[in-house]
Amino acid sequence: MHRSSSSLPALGPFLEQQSFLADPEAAQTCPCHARAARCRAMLSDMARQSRTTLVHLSELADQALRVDWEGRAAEAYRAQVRAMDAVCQDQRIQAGRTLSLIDQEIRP
Amino acid sequence: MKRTITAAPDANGYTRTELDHLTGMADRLNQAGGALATMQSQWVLTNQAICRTMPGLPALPCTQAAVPPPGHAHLPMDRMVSFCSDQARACEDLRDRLQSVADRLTRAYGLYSQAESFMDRLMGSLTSKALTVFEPIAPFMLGSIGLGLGVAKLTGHLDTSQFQEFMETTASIQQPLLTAVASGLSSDHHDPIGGLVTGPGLLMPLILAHFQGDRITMDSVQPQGKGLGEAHDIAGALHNLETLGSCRDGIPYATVAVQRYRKADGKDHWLVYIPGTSSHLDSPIGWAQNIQLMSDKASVRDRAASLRLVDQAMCDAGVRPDDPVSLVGHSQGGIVAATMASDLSDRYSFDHIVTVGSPIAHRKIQPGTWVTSVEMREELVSSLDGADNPSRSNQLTVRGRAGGPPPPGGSQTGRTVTTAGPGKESTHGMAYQQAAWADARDQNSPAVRRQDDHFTHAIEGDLQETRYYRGRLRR
Repeated sequence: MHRSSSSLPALGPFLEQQSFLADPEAAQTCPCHARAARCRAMLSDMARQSRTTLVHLSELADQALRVDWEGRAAEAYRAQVRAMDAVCQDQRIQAGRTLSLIDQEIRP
Repeated sequence: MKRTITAAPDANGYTRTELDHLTGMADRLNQAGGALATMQSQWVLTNQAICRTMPGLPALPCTQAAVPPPGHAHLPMDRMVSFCSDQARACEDLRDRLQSVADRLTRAYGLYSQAESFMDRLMGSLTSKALTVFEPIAPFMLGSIGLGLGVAKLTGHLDTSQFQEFMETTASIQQPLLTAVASGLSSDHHDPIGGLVTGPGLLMPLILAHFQGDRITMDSVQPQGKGLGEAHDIAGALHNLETLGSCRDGIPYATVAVQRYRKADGKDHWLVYIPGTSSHLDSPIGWAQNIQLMSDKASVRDRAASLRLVDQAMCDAGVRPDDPVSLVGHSQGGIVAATMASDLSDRYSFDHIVTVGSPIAHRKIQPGTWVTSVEMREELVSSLDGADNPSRSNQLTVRGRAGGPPPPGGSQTGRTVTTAGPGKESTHGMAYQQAAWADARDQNSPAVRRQDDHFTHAIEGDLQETRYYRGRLRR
């Protein structure tokens, strides 16, 4: 069940693109630019941390599934681990989509 | 009232490598949960920071225009804020899931049983040190507490449920407290409680001869109903033991049962059931015999009428020295089983013993004899030895814990026991011990499976006969 991070859904263009809000001259002339840039930077940082954590959780789930254990309780345990991993995957996809939408709405 | 019983086996029977791997796995899961908790807080703080950063945004000139001027844009404030909230909630959900996964692993393998034992030893050490200060009066203090509880119970000021609540609240300090007090009074520091009861134990035959007699009469009896059935595993044996101890099917009190199983190779294997203490004055499995059996001297233990009854029953049933024998006992019955496995190992070949609710920590059972023990954390009896059971590859102790009622919709883990009345009751009874074993079997860790498989193999074969021996004391 091991998946490499390269095959995992990316967080969209949000993290990779240079923000149009990073124009220092524009930031000096308009008060909203600086504030919006700060918000975008905060979200960007948090999104990066979140992705790292979720990737780590998926790897942990992979290891947790390989514990030597059989029987009904073991099957319930593995079902819980798979459900947790599915939530991680879904969370990364949803986060990527939302951040892309935010970026599109910010763009003039 | 319904109570949920959950069990955790000792982390016995695993190699160091296996334990390190499993413990490491559980630790990583817990650490990831901690990281998610931190991340959750950070998303909340980010949310607050965004809200603080963008106050008054709608009033800024660049945002008031119908069409944003070049280089300016609308800021999706609401979407940003809700995104942060959603991320924080997702972190909390994942953290709960991780915790549940880690708990399952920990419980099934008993991974932190060693840590719990360490805490118990620490408590014991602290209690002992505290009692050293009050050593001259400590026994009187505890005696007064015990007397007070007894009087309150007898006069109706303390009902069963309240007493059980007291026992459950003090569960973690019962064992170290008993040991600490006994250590102060006894010269045997290895088994202080055993040393303490040896004196009274030596006097027991004289006392018994005067009041109830020390001579055993043993009669072969038959149940009026179906009686004990064929056992195929530990759960089946415990079911039979419960039938015997509750005197169902017209089985008299203080009756020992001996079953003979024949394997495919024609060899006989035996399974002996030993019930718990009976309060009848003429019962050889009575209160006084408990004192003798707890002694640290084999010569005192071997005088106990309950042990002599079982020995006599096995001889009469035809158990030969080389025949593999398994014993199953509740409470005093378990003490008898462990005592026979340690003291009479030169006369019988003990294959596997199962004890439920029995303090057997100090019995030196032969290495080749498998031992499976079930104890309930909240009941005092299993703690009377003042120590944890030994740890070795073929000895497993499963510790049950009585919780609250199962959640609506049924319990995902644990077995349910219904109390006789509306309040709490002692968890020493067979129903609780059986539920604890059943839950351990549900978890099915390799150690639990190994013990059960060995017992199943020990009694494999067709049941040939069940003999019932009723014992009575006479002068």
